Amino acid sequence: MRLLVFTIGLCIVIVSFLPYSISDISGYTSSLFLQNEETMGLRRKIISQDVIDFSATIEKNQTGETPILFITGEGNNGKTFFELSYLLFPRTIYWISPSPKGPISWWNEVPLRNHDIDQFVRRYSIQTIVTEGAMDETLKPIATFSFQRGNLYQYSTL
Amino acid sequence: MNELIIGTILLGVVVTCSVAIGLLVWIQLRQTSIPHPVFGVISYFLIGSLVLSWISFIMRILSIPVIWLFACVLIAGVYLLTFIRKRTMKLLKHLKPGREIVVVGLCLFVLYVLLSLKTTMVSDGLFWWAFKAKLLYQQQYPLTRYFSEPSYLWSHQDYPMYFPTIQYWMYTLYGRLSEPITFNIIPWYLTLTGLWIFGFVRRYHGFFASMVCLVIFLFIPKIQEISVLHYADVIVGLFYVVAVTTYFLFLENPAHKSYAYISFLIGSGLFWIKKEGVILFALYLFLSFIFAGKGISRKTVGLWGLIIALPNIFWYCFLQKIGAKGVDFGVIFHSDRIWEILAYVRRLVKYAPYWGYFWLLFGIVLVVTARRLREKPYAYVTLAVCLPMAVYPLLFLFSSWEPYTEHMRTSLDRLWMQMIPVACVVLFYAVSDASKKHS
Repeated sequence: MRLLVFTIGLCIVIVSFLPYSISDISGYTSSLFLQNEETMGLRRKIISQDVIDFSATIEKNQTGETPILFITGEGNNGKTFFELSYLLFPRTIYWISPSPKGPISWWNEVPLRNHDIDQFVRRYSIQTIVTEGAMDETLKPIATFSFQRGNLYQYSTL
Repeated sequence: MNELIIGTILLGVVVTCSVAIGLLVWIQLRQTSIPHPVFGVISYFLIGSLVLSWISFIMRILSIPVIWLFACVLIAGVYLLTFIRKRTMKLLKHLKPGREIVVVGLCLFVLYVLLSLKTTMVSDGLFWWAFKAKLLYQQQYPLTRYFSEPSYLWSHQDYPMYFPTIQYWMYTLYGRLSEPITFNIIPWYLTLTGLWIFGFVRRYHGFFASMVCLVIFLFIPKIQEISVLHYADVIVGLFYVVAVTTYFLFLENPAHKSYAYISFLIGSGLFWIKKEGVILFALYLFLSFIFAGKGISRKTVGLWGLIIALPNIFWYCFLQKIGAKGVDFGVIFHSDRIWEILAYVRRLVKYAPYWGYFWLLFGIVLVVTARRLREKPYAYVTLAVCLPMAVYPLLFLFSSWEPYTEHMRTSLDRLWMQMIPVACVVLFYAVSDASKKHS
């Protein structure tokens, strides 16, 4: 009796799972045999090559390990911030945004006025500013990058 | 492929060092009775890797290069082979693998290779774990500065360091930072979990049934998912199944106290792998205490509990002193969330693509075999699955996320997966005839 119940239960579990498992396994094998090593390497990276290139440019343009200011508008998801923070470590990246701050928001809530940004820059001796959109028409970025999620601009405070 | 080969070689060095340290700890505890060969090697690896992880973390705080640690391990190896050669040989004599284990081991090795090639990183893998490994690797950066820096709150400063320290050793041995060489870590732990499950179920069933159990475990979609996305839940799952099943073996045969000691040592690692592991650790200790009696008194379990909780206390004191903050859970109790949490749990159990029915099956088997709950070991393992499963959803009553449902959606099913290895062995043990044990 015990074995019968167990077998029936097992069958239910396996049948409920079959469609998912087959599609997953077929995707799994095709990913193994149809892709060459180069594309595989890229697929295995969570950070897009554009952001890697952009962070390399920031490193090249910046002296020492001074902090970096990252500015975004409202409605941000933080992925670029995480990516840059990982790639540019040990440089600290401060993130400011005018969006209201929640308990697990990683940005500092700062209105994007010149005076407030200037204060932030002075407080942390920031040399480099990275923004998701162009700052001011009078300011010229030292590097610009376009990628899937939008544009990134690098400014120098020196 | 090159990364996999390099990663495998480096992991091999790390595993060898860990097994050597684990063996040394075991001998120092004057324990000679070792379990099944597979059980033995995996236990030594887990104990040794925990010890190495703690030492390397403390060395990093003191800014001592971890390469010295590997030098010390080599010395320890020489010590093992010379001063206590007889005892070591006596232990190693038992480590002759059987034919079946070789077959299963080969199958799992293929799985290890395939999973390592498939492994990719999600945010948890890169921004929480690999980031900490990078932090450990950057020797010039003071570790205490990181923990006290509010601008690193996003990286979850209170997440424990077991997984990053393994990545850190591999980077150190490799000589440079390269994330892809660490992609084999999680598949390796999954392989060990599979081996452990097979070894345990084989005690009560034939080869075929044990293989069926192993296949079921490996086919669970969520297990496949968390094994290739660089989540640490697989590691917690292994530590938990080893800690629980070795204590189960002790309860089955109270004369073998060594099983209980192995269990305590490995159980001590639960909180050092994932933050939520502290709950699992507390529940594990509680259950071990309640079920103690024959062979080991509750007083002894309490004493061991205190000893193995010491690193935990040290870790939290360290975080407290340095000013690191946790962000996922707060102290405010939101009782109004309970109905939504229960509704989500119901949805999760009914969710076919993730094999939610597995838990239904588990429930049915428990009801059918309810009479066996009078057996102490069976009651113990059953509670070891049910108790954390009941407690984990309640954690979200304290979640700081807004909306907290997002927190629950991204983590509850993963937390439950930590219990899957134990649940698999309970399922197969439940339908076995406990009086017929295979050697």
